Formats: sequence, structure tokens, C-alpha cells
Amino acid sequence: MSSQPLPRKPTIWETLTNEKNFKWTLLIPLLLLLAIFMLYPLLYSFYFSFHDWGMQGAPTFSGLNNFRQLVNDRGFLLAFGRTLEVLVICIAVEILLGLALAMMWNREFPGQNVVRGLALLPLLVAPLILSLLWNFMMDFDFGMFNQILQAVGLRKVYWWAPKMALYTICAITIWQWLPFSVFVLLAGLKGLPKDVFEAAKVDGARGWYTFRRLTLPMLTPLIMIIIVLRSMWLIRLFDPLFGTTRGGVNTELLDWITYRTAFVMFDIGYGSAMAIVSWAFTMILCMLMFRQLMKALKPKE
Amino acid sequence: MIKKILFWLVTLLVLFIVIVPLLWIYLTAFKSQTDIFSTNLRSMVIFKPTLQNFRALFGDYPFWPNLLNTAIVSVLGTVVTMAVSLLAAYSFARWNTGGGDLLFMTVSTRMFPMAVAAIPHFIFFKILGLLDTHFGLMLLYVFFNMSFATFLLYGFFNEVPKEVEQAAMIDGYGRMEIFRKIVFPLIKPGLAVTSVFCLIWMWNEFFFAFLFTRSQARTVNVLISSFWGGLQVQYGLMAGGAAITIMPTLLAAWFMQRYIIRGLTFGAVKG
Amino acid sequence: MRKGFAILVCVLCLVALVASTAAAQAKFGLNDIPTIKNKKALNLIIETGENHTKAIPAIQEFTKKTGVQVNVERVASSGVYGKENVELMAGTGFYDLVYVETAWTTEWSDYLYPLMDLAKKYDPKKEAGLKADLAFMSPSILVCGQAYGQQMVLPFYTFDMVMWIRQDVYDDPTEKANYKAKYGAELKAPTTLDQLHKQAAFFTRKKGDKLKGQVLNHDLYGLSMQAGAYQTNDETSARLWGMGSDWVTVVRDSAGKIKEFVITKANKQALKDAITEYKQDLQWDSPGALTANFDFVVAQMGNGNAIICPTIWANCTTWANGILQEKVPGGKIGMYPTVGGHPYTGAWSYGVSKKTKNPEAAYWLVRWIASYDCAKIVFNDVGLPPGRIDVLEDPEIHKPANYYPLGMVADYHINIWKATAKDVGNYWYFNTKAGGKVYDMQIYAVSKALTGEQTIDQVVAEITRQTLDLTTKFDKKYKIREEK
Repeated sequence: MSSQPLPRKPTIWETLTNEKNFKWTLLIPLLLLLAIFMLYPLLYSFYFSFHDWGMQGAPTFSGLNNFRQLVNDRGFLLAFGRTLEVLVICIAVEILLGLALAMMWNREFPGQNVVRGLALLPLLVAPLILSLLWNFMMDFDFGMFNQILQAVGLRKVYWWAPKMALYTICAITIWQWLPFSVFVLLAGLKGLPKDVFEAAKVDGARGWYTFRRLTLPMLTPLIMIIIVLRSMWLIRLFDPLFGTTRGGVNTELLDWITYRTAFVMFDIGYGSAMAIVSWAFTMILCMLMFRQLMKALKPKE
Repeated sequence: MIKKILFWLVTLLVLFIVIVPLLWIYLTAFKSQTDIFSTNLRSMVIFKPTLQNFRALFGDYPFWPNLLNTAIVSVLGTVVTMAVSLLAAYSFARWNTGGGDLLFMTVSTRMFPMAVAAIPHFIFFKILGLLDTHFGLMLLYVFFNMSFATFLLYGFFNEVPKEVEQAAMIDGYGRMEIFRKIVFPLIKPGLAVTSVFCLIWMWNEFFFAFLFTRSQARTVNVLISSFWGGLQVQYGLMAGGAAITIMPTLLAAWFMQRYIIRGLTFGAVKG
Repeated sequence: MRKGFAILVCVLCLVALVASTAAAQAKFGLNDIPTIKNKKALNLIIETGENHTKAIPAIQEFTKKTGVQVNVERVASSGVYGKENVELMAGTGFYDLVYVETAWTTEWSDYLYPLMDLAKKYDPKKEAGLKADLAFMSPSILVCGQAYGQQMVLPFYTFDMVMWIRQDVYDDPTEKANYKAKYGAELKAPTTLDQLHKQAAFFTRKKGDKLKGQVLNHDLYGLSMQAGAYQTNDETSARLWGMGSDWVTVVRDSAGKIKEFVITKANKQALKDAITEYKQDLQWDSPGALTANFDFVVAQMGNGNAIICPTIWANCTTWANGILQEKVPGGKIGMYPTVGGHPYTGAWSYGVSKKTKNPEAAYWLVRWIASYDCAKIVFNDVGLPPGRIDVLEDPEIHKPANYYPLGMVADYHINIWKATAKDVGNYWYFNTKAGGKVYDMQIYAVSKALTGEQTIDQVVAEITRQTLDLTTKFDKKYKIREEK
């Protein structure tokens, strides 16, 4: 091959796909969307958290007033605490149950397509609509659950009693999202290299040992990803409340109080302050979990 | 033997818990208004089925156009999300671009309360003239899902050992070829799972569809949830609408879970 | 003689002609709408619900007459405020007619045209044309739709509160006798809180007890209330206003102009009493009341599970009655003023957006919706009580055969409006720009007291604090203070 006397200027495509730039080229669409859709609302809310605005007229500057109010807002702090409680309960149940079910169903068995297909159903219905229907199903007088209880001779349960309502909300969320962890873990289990397990079996390793030493470590990254994602969503939990308690009976969560401040009362300044605080909290929490995840992935490299 | 019984006991229990509420939806879809509110347990299962809910749904409301809108926005949105996320996830997984911080920033897009983000987005869309358009809603959906999709795919990419790619590079394959011929097939199960979850999320989204569409691009979920809150809460219409709306997602999910099985054979090749 | 007779006949004919045209011109109707040049289509919201669907053909009559297309968007009533507020704030001008709950009128007054201004511009009879039709509407409802003295919106249907009782139970000789024996008084619809409590206790029975001499096969509750996080504020308003108080006192000067708002000690005490009484009532209600909205109250009454609904929407009466007739043989609903006689009131109304591209057609559509012919359709076909007294006074529905329930509903509204007309203008909600925001805040605050999440004293303090905060932030016209 003869080389040219002058080096040819590389085409745009070649520049983008050379060794150094390729990884950044892959990110261009993502970064573009991030810049447009994330930066603007963030800056907007940041601005308004230092002002008072009710959607009309000009916003009035109020400095740190909104944040000061937030710290003393009993309702907000209670909502915060409840959100954490929901977070811990739901994640614990979803991971444990999810793992158990994924391991159980990670085999060939008759009717496996039907079972796995049906198990996915809770995720398929719109969460909001589901909450409207759950509200009716769990109604004290007309709901299906209480009618079944009465039919077998038990007393009716008030599923939305002030002491119990939060756990009912947890149950609804877990019901809907368990398939998520089951299927992500199932996909993960199927992606594990079979040879390692075969070797272990030949060496005489037994079920629990294989699980603890082989399966779990290899699944850890995926489990952590599930935890990060679900935490992010659970802190934002909103849909089950919309059609049922609407924040009443001791179930007001973080996103609900933010929603009704910003979107029902349209107290934009205060609502933005709430949003910034809960966003910051989510960031910090997920960042910590994220660091763990990165550490868990490091040995692979 | 005991293991088998236990297996089926647990499986059936799980299925029962899963199915019963959904069964209720399908039963309610065929009940008349008075049957729905009856306190008699027998009439819960034994009742005179009626098609009036469906007739009203199709006749009085733009159910099918709305369903079409949902389909357009969700399918297109999923395709675009997967395209964006696939590339980005590969970049993060293979080179750890941005040292983990960029990945984290991507993931954090869903950390902001939706209600507060809605207003600036609304103004932004109004300026761009994207209100009540399929394209606008799709764009919004892509943004909301790319964090989740990127992150999930990142996880699946990580399962592919670097050695496989390195071996291929030594053999003289180019980057794009490696991606297409070697990496892509291995993460197909992960891809299937992620795209189905994206599709489902978009299919079922309510809040932004409610705010950002009026009549042109209105999605079916806005229609269904609007049956609540009127002077007569129409559980029958809601259940009917939900019953039909679930079906396409059910189909998609059905194919997805079969794909995981097929992924088994690819996994074997890896060894 | 002949000539004089002929002249007399001519004069009489003339008189008759003038009289008949005058009579024909007495009420505004579709034929009074002049040709509208601007044919741009109009967008508006109509609530979801089977009943509201029946109102759409009436709207289409407008299109037939004027040639202006009307696009209807269906939105659930709970979502209207959020949806429209964002559109109004962003100035999209999408909704030509704005669907307004009267409590929001003052808050949204900047977004709407005063209707008199539009009348001046487009009505051939100028303001007099509008005034003539307003004379047939309920004065108190009109006041709710005013901001700073100007009419901003006209009513589509009203939502006054009422107290339902099972009239057949109250008329039953067995129940009457038992009640008299136990309490020494006649069994009549309660007019005091004490009577309400006695009767609520009297009618709370278990499965197996008797009602009207027959054995009950389900639990019976004395009361049914909407104590979920939906309407607790309205049920509290009915109590507050019934006690002669309010959430906030509107202080006027000698000329009648508003000086300031004050949360007096009396207001705070009344609020405390109202919530305490509300909470006390829960013991005679289903546990499900804590998450209940109006649809469950309707179901409770319709299925015969409750005897008294102390604070429910009058526009639900035909709906509840429909269920009752099917489920409970011989069941009848009786409508009475809420205890204290000052129920929550207002109307879902329409106003004209300042950003509309077709103000002329929008004005006429609002006039049509509030007109006699349209309101008649709304009442008789849709079952929703309008804001027009002439429709409610229609002799047809007052015939004995038709009286139950439409005539009863009509009479209830006419009477309650008469009784409360002088007070409505002074209720705080209708005089402040922060009305909508405080209204929504109250829902959650009161509900927390009912569920025991916070003590009543804490809630009263919280409501006071937030009312002061929100009003100071969002009502720049009047000052608010607390009397400590």
C-alpha cells in the first residue's frame, strides 16, 4: 500500500469512532437529552425555592424562608420518616422474595411459560388505575377482600385504619413491583456462566455452598442495581396513594406532600424547596449505594 | 418429592395472589353498575354479564384513538430509548466513561419529584409548540426512561467478560463489528427485559400524559382514570378499559419472558 | 259605533302583539344570539361521568345555531384545577371557556374577562341584556361567581350541601314510637347538633337488630360522611357556618368595603368545636369513612347501610335515589338543611378566558350554558341542579307525580338559597385570592385531626399558621392577621 505524501484529514465519522472518542460518541444522544431535560427543571426549581410564587404575578424573593419553614414543618418531617420506613420494608421484601422466586423458577418445569407470564401481570396494569381499583377492593363495606373474609366467618378488616394504612400501601407496591426483581434476577441467573457451576458440582459442592460462594457474589451487582433503582422509585412513591388514601390516614409520603404543595395548592416556592430537599436526599442516598456498587464491580476489571 | 410439592404450593400461592385482583378487574368489566356495588359475595362471581360497559367505552369515548396514541408513543419511545441507552450503557460498561459520575448523573434523572418538574417542562414545551403532540410526549418519556434503561443495560453488559471482546479484537475485528456480532447477542435477554419494562412504563404513564395532552395525543390511561371523580364513579368503565389496555402489554411481556429462555442457549455458548 | 269597535279591536291587537313580543323577549334563548362573525372553534372542559355526557347535545345546539365549532375535553373534576391552572399560567389560551369552581373565582379573576365588559362589547342589548337574564339566577350563587364585585362566571350546575335522611324510616310508626320512648321527643330531621347525635346513636345498630320492625342482615350506621382526604374541609365549613362562624372573619368598614381579614379567637374556638364535633360523629359511621369520598356516601345511603348523611352534595340526590329504589324497597330520601342551616355552597361555572381567540363566541356560549333552555336540559336530563331559579320553579316538576325527587331537589335549593343569601357574600373563601390554596390545605389538615395523626389543638394551630402564610403570600390586596 503506498502512503500518501500528505496525511488525509479524517472524516467526521472516523473522528467520532476512533479509539479515543468512540466512548464519548456513544454518549452524545444521552448527554443531549440530559442537558435539555434535566438542567432546566433543576435550575427552575432552584430559583423558585428562594422565592414565593403562586403561578400569578411576579415571584417575590424570600431568601431561605422556605427552607427554614421546611425544617419546622411537622408534616414534612413525618412524611420523610414514613418514606424511609416504606423504603426499607419494600426493598427488603422485594429482594428476598424476588431472589427466592427467581432461584425457584430458574429451571425447566411444565407450564413454565404460563407461570412466568402470569407472574408478570402486576406490572402491566397502570399503577394509578390500579390504585383506584385497589381502593374499591379494600373498601370496608363494599370491598372484595372484606366480603371474602365475612363469607368465611372472619371479621371485616379496616385495611385503611390509621395504624395499618401505611403497610397496606407497602403491600400494594410490593404486589406490583415484585415481578420486576424476579425477572431481572431471573435474567441475571440465566446469564451466569454454566461451566463454573458444573465444575463446582463435580467438586462435590452442595446447594447452599454454591449459592453463597458462587451465585450470590455473581448476582450482587444486579441486586445492587435493583436496590438503587427501586430506592429511587420508592422515595418517589406516589401512584398507590392517588386513588386510595390521598395522603390521609397516616400515609402521607414525601412525593405526596410535594405534589399537593406544588400542584394542588400551587405554592410553587415552598413546593420547589421540598423538591430540592428530597432530590438532594435521594442523590446522597443513591450516591452512597452507587459507590458500593462500583466497588462490587471493580474486581471484574 | 417434598421439594416438588413445596415448589408447586409456593408457585400456586404466588399466582393466586397475583391473579385475584386482576380477575376482579375482568369480572367487574362485565358487571352492571348496581352489581358492582353489591355487598353480596355470591353476586361477585355469579351475576348477569353485560356488555354495556364496553359499548359505552367504545361508543361514547374515543377509546380506540386514545389506545392508538398510547401505542404510538410507547413503541416509538421504547425504540428511541433503547437506541440511546444501548450506546450509552456500552460506553459506561466498557470504558467507565466519566469515571462513574456521569453514569450516576444519568441515573439521577428520575430522582426529581415529577410534580415539580412538570411545570418548567410545560412552559418549555409550550414555547417549542410540543404540547399535545406525539413527538413531545415521546421525547419526555425517553428522557424519563433512559436513566433506568441505561443503568439496567449497564448491569447486563457487565456480565459479558472482557476477555471475549479482547480475544475478538486480537483477531482483528473492528469495534462496531465486535459490538454487533459478539456483545449484542449475549445481552439479548437483558435487552428484552429492559425494553419490555420501558414499554410497560410508557404504556402506563399517567401524570405527564394528563398534563401535556389535550385531545390530539391523549393516551388511553388518561381516559380510563378520568372515569373516577365524575359525579358517578364508573368502576365498570374503568375496569373495562383496564381489561383491554392490559392485553398488548401482556403480549409484549409474554414474548419477553420466552426470550429469557432462548437466552439460555446463548449462555451455553459462552462457556 | 262600528268605527269605535274596530278601533278598539285594533288597539287590543296591538297591545296583544306588543305583550307577546315582550313576553317572548323575556328570557334569553338561542334565537337571541346575533350572527357571530368569528368562527374560530372553542375549547372547553366538561367533567367526566355518564351524566355530564348527556349535557353535550345541549352544547351542540349552540354549534347548530351559530356555526361555531365547540370542542369538548373530558377531565375528571379532581383534575380540573391542576390542568387549567397550568394552562392559564403558561398563557396557552387553549381553553376559551374556563371551567371554574366558584371558590377559585377570585383567584383566577386576572385570567378572565368580566362578563359585563363582554356584554357591553357584543350584546346588542349591552349590559341590560345580561342583567335581565341574571335576574332569574340565584343571587347567592351569583355572588360566589363574583370577584371584587364583578361577575366573572355563570353557573352550570350547583353543589350545595344537604342533609339526607331516610324519610321512610323517619315516617315509620315503630321507629317513631321507639325514639319517643327513648328520648322523649318527636323523631324529626335534626336541627341541632344534640338532636343529630341522639338520632345517629339511635340508628347505629348491629346485624340482627331491627329496623322498621324488620331484622337487619347487615350492620347499620347512623351516619355516613365523606371523612377521607377529599372533602373534609367542606364538611367542616358546613359546621362552622352553621355555628355562625367562619374560617376567617372578613372585616368591613362602615361603607361596606373590605378592610382586612382576621382570624379571631372566636374563629379558632369555632374551628376547634367543629372538628371536635366532626370527630365525635365518626363513632356512628363506618370505619371506612376515613377514606370516603362522596361516591361511598352515596353507596351507603343507596344500599341502605346508613340513615343520615349530615353533609353531602345535593346534586348527588338523584344518583343516590336511583340506587335506593333498586336496593331498598320503600326507601325514600328526605332533603333538609345541614345542621345550622348554612351548608357549603357554590357552583361549577364557566367564564371567558382573556387569552381566547374568539371572545365573542365564548361570551355567547357562556350565556347559552347559563340560559333557561340549557339549564332545563341540565336539570331534567342530566339531573344536576342549575343556578337558575326559574328552572327550579317549573310547575311540571312540582306536580305530585313528579315531585319525588326532582321537585324536592328544586324546592330544597330555592329555600336554602333564600335562607343563606345574605350571608354568602361575607364568607371568606369568596373574598380572597388565596381561597383555592387555603381550601386545599384545609382538606389535609382536618383529615389529620380526624385520623388522630395530630391532636385537634395542633391542627387548629397548623391551619391558622398556614392560612396566615398562604394568604400573606398570595393575596396582595388585603392583609390578614391573627387575633392572639
